[in-house]
Amino acid sequence: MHILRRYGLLATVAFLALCCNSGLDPTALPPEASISGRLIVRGGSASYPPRDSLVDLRVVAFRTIPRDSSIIAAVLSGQAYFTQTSVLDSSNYHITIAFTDGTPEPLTLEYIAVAQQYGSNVFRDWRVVGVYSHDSLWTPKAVTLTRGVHRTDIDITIDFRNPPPQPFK
Amino acid sequence: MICRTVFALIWATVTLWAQFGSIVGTITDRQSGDPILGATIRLGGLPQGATSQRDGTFVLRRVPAGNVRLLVSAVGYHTREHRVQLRAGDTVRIRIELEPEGITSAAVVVSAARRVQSVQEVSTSVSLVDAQQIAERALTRLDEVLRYVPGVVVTGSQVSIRGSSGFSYGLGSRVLLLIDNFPALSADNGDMSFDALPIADIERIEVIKGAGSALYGTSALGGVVNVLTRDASPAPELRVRALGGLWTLPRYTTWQYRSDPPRLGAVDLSGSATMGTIHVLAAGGYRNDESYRDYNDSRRWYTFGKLTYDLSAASELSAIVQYAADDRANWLNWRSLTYATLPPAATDTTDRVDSRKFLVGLQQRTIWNPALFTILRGSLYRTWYTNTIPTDSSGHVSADALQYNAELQASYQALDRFNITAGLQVVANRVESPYTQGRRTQTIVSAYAQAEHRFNDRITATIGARADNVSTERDAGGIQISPKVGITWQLSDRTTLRSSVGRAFRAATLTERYAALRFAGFTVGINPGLRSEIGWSAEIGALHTTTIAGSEWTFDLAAFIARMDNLIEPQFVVDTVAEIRFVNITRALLPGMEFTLRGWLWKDVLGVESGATLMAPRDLVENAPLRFRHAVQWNSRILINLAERWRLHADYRFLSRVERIDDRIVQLGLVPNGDARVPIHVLDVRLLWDVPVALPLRLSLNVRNALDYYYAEYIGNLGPTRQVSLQAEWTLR
Repeated sequence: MHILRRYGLLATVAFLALCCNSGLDPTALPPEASISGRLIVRGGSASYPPRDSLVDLRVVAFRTIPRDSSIIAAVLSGQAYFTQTSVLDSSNYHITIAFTDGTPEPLTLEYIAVAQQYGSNVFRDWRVVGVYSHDSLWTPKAVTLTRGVHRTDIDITIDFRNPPPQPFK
Repeated sequence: MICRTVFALIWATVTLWAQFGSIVGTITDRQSGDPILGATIRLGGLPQGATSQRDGTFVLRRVPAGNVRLLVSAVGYHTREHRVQLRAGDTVRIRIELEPEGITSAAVVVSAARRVQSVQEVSTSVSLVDAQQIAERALTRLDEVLRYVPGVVVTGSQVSIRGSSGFSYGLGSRVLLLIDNFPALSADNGDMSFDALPIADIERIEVIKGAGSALYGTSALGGVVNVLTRDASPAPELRVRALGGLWTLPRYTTWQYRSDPPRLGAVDLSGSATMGTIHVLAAGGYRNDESYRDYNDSRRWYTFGKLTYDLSAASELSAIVQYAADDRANWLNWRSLTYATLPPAATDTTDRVDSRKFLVGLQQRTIWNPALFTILRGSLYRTWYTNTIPTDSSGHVSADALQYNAELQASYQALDRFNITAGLQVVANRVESPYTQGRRTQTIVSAYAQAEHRFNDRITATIGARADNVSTERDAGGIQISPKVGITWQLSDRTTLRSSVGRAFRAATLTERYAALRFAGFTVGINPGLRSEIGWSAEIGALHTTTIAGSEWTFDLAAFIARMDNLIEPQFVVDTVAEIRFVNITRALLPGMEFTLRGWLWKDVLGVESGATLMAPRDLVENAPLRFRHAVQWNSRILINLAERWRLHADYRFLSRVERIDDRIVQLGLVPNGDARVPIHVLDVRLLWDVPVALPLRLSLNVRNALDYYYAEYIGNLGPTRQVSLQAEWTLR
């Protein structure tokens, strides 16, 4: 009986150990991709708008061309990705995209832009001041990503004085 | 006139004296005849009680004359009801033998109906944790204790009963916390301060599940947790508990924030004595934890005092005083899963929070006659905190919150089968903080009544209601009516059915209404018009005991459902400005089942306790699973008596993966890898040794999270990793 008890205990502990040998693992993060590049301001720092109309500046990558200025809503719904911090005082940027259950693969980013928050409404007061483009007409250039792809050549030109056509209605 | 008044008082005192007697008794083990230490003896229907000493003796004074019903319970024994015929002025000597059961069964509660009842008489589900379980598990905080209770989930500082709460950093608790029946939720945030409790002097914790507002008012949406501290010992007694341990280094190098294991230690000291009509208990403790996470260390100390004074044979005055201070680091979530033991890179590592709590409560209990007793209760609970960032900086936080509570309760036993409990209560909350733009106040005036009728020896029905008038600043708020009905039906000596339906509410806290601050780049705005959360809950349950292979087994099965409306959650709001506000946004349905069992697999050698809760909580607004809830919870405990003085215990805790979190937090990048979540498996193992020395000494070696399983307890927060500790406990009498 004593042997049974001891083996029973060992079996229980072994069962639990087998059940529970996983858990969170920092080496098994969701697969990621990223885009990064330089930010070139046409006209230099002299072209910057007044500080009170330059509340925030972010690089935003949209899956499809946006139809309104609800950038935050697009990010919240998983339709867009943005730089986690402002790029106001930066000449480059980096966006990491985690491939979760709802992320299509390959992932196409049709519209990558620099957005300026010009008013106090973080949800609506945005305009586009730069677009990743292959020509001088600001024609958007799409980028396609798969897991593990890290594009570092997505340079964007910013023009505060003559911004690109606004995609927002 | 004066003479007449004095004469009347003397006459009343003499009359009261004449209606009471005393009971002196001994509690012993029926099989061995040994005296039982720590048995609880309660007077059925009355608020009195006593605890047996080492020689098994106890004394009950101020017992109303008549046919007295005693409820006697002890850890490891069957609860027993015993009747005594007591005449006024007499002292009756009795001997009560208890049948060993082996597994914890302290089946007497006071919180379900504000008076003493056996669990079989209660129409809602109740879970109990006694002092022995707390001591054996080497626990130092209340939240650690509650994690072992079926149906209770603790996430950070938030307690949820049967899915009542998700995760909101403890703000706006939907479970009411009482300490010795005094309310103990903070006046500003409505949250629990676990470190403020005298954990070593807890006699037991009662967890009442389901709507509790019919007796307790606001915050009892999911249930009530009542922490009852022990009474002073009749003979001088000194208890010392010391614990030392360490956190083992995690397996992953990026999580090893230091090269040597972080240490922790705790010491508790408690003394009690009785000097004539005065009973005194004084306690204090200190804890130091270097933490398994960097810059998460804490130092905590507390003092606790309880004084009881016998005013007369029929009246008792008692006071509790508690003061706790907590110095801890200040961050909310990890840097990322890769660096899960580090705070975000931008964290100000010099910032610390100094948090203090002070509770003083005064209570007078008077037995006017064998059928009527009253309790007059008043308390003051103050919580205040500040961080070390200068007051003129944006990161500064501080608040000073005060709660006044006054209450009168009367309980009247009309005939043998009818009991009514009624009361009046006034609670005033006040907070003063920069983030509330000065002083804010809230007042709740309440009246309640609950009637209980025993139709016969088997069926008992309960009906009651409470009205709460909540006024916040200039907002009249309106009256909340919280009714409740319940029934228990004892089918046989071994089977009891129960059922109850009740309404509950939670008034929006002052912080939820008036907090205005900047957080992670977003503005949190005020919403003075917040309405109270309301909910209905119903349950049906059965308690059954049976004998299997010569061992006693207890089974409890409950099916429950709760519907909650106007649940308050933070929400992005866009109108004239864009900001986060607390709004009444969610409606939820929380159906589920709970099953518990306990008994001996091999008599007196291998014991088992197990409880499972299965739930399907739904957000009715979004028609999706309710956020931050676990569908399955399973707690199990194994007790093995290895030898005469050696025992091995194991606790296993499982929580299924949180099905849904708030995606906005992750999408906006507020918490990197915030969606990293897995099922929770935690195994705690203890080896206990009652050392055969002159002074009663118990040593226990504890390994918590023995499998070193890693999980996120809540969004962006790594749960406690493996901890090894050694605890020594002496009791000197």
